[in-house]
Amino acid sequence: MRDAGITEQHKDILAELANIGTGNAATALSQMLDHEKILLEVPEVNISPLQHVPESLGDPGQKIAAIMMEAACDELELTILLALPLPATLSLIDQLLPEGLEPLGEMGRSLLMELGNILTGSYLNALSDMTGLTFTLSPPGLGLDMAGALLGSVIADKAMLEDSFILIKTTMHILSREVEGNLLLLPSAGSLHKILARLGAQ
Amino acid sequence: METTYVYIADLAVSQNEGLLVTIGLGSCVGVALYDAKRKIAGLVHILLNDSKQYLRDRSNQFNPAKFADTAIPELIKAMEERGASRGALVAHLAGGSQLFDYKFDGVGIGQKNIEAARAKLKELGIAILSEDTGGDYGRTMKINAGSGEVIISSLSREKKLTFINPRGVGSD
Amino acid sequence: MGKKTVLVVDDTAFMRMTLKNILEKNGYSVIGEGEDGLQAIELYKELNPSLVTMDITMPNLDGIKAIEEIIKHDAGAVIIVVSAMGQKALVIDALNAGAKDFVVKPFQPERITEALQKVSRG
Repeated sequence: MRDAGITEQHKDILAELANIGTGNAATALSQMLDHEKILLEVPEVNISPLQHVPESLGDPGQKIAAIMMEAACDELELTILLALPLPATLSLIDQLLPEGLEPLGEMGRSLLMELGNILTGSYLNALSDMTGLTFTLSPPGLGLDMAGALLGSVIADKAMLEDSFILIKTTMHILSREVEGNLLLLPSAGSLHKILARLGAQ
Repeated sequence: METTYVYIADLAVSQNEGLLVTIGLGSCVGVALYDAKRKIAGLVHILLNDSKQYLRDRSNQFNPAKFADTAIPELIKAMEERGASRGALVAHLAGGSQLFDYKFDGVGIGQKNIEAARAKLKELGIAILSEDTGGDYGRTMKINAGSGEVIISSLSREKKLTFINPRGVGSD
Repeated sequence: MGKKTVLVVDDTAFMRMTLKNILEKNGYSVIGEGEDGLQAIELYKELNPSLVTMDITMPNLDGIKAIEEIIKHDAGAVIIVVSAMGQKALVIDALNAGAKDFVVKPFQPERITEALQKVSRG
């Protein structure tokens, strides 16, 4: 998506959308973690050239778990990534996986996919309430690797041809564990204006 | 040593002492070319396999470094501008993996990228000296313009693969 | 009276394990596990369970379409949806397709057993 036509007002609306969506996702996560307190940062809405997308989660060489899903409503498409740095990944698995199972074995990986599914589903539930749109969601894909390689693969796997992207990122902090995770939204070209129009933006 | 980072859908050329680095090749493919006689190295980080397939999207400026079929000729052109000789070039390939574990049918874009890069190099008569491709993990690729040494590293493998251009291969 | 039999359908192994644990602790017998909508239909026909828990987002065939097919085969099928997708329109779609209740993930274990008790009484 080119940055043409994205105003400060649009960014404000998108940030609010992300705030409410991530709020719902954080509530879901908190429920899964026996009501632990989860704080949200103010969402960042950035227009990033393709070349800098792999750095959008920080150091492109750091190991993260990324759960990728695609939400769709008619021709509107949103790629949603739950990105968890390794400490957060292991801490969540430690609490949620029954004892005796290998943290990053088959069941641990399945848990991460389900976590992506639940948080993304919750995010979309809020988006649906606000826009009146009904989204379908693809089954999750999980990657555990360098952040930059994962983000590059998202762009390549989805054959996104844009030279710049709107990235809508919200960071969640699980206070007692001192770990954080991100929810990252990448709307496909054209999708953004449809969402904005739906919300009555000029 | 001067280090130049090559971003996604980006290319760079370095001479003598420079180091070219691209971090995080997943489905993307890195192609490093080297002219040993003139100590000129080039590196490109390719996103997709075929520009012709994607030309329907005309809303963006065309970036040849994005596609295997156009990126390799573009890299050669940039190296020739710095004095490299096409006949002297040898190639190294890395990346083209499948990082996301999801159910789908058909050939992944990583594999398509590898095949497209190989085909283009073959068409241009450039020998591939080393290849570290495929699998399910990401890679970082470096080439040293002074020595022609290529280093591929990844998180899941501690081992670093090192390839050095044997003398005589590809030199004119 | 024997234990009520349940078919658990969800694409993630972790969620199938979680549901199975909850159900077996509460006196149900999980007689089959499906990973997608197609398997759900096959297994339903083969096993004829008293209850089904059905996810929505799954590969090959989604849960709502699977419910429609199962109801076509057996109008009396007792299916509850267990999904993270709590959007109003999807809940309505699922109920129209023939689901008897809808549990939004994440859930407290009691929510699953309450839903199953409610629908099996009805």
